[in-house]
Amino acid sequence: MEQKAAHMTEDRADSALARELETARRIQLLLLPEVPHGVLGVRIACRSIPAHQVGGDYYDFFRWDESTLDLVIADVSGHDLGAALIMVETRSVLRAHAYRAGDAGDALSMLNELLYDDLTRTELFLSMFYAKYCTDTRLFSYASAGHNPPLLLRCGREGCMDLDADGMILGVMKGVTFEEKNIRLQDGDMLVLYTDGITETKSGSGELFGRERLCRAVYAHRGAPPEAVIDGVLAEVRVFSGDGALQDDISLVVMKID
Amino acid sequence: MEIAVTENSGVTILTPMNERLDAHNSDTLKGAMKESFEAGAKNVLVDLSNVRFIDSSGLGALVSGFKNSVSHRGRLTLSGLQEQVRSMFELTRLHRVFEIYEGLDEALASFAEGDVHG
Repeated sequence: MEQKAAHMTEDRADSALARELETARRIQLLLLPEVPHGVLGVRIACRSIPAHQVGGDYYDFFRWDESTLDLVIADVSGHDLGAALIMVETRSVLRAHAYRAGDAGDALSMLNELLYDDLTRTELFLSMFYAKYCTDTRLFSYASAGHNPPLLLRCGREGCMDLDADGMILGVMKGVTFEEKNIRLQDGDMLVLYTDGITETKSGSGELFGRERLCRAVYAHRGAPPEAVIDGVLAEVRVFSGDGALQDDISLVVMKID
Repeated sequence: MEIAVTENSGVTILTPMNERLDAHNSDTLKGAMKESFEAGAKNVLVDLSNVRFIDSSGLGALVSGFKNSVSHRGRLTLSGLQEQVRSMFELTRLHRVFEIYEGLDEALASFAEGDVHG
């Protein structure tokens, strides 16, 4: 009798916890932005799928005017509730301070200083890619804090270019500077920002999905609208992983230049 | 996760025995490094030669060890990085923060000489 009562209490506690996690999941997904509207000459799609109820992936867009857009993608170490809390803090800090950053490298340096103490106390860190795109000049300026280099598919060319820039992950040391790089985009170019949950998806035999497979998948869908490119890539990742269960959070942002 | 702990000429050597260092087991390594520094160890070497795969949680454990070494005025070095582990260090630029040696012998020799690489 007592044992049964104890089980019922446990069941109630489990379902209360499940409800709270479901609320956390819903709110975290609502904190991710919709695609920015009213920026001339770009089409964007984005998606984030946490491995569990909540996760440590983050992406955002800051539309300053109809020709200036910032894009950011980040991945907090771990993919649990702790990572999710830091993801929310990162978003709040960045949203409050992004307007002060002169360029993409500045944005990362500033964020590193602002988050360093909390990341040290919580023993977490994050990788981040930050870009500023001007549709008038088509200049894409970017900096990276140890994030997986986004892929650039040039219109009419085979394969993918890595957009790598030198910079350490955030939360390891103070006073870090970040290399700033620039590239001029052209009609028909496509950019793919992603988190490592995609490239580190494992197959049944333990093989990793990897950068080459991602590049081939994106290239194969290059003619499709951004939303369909994401669907295509995610379908390939799911087939590759076999059982369909994600091991890590997955996020993708696809931007096409028209 | 099992971690072999040995001593060699004043160096505490921590050797994770698993092939993966990830969210499921990195806390054990984090705890072992912390305990070593708190117990007064000044020279700690993490031998990663068994580790074929590391994720961000595994790197997080090593970063935490690095910060512990700094706050305890100790020294943390790594050795035996396999291909995937090395590429993760290069991507995150953590190879600039840690002293990394090819093998255990080179790492131990560096402690004996007392050099500190950046």
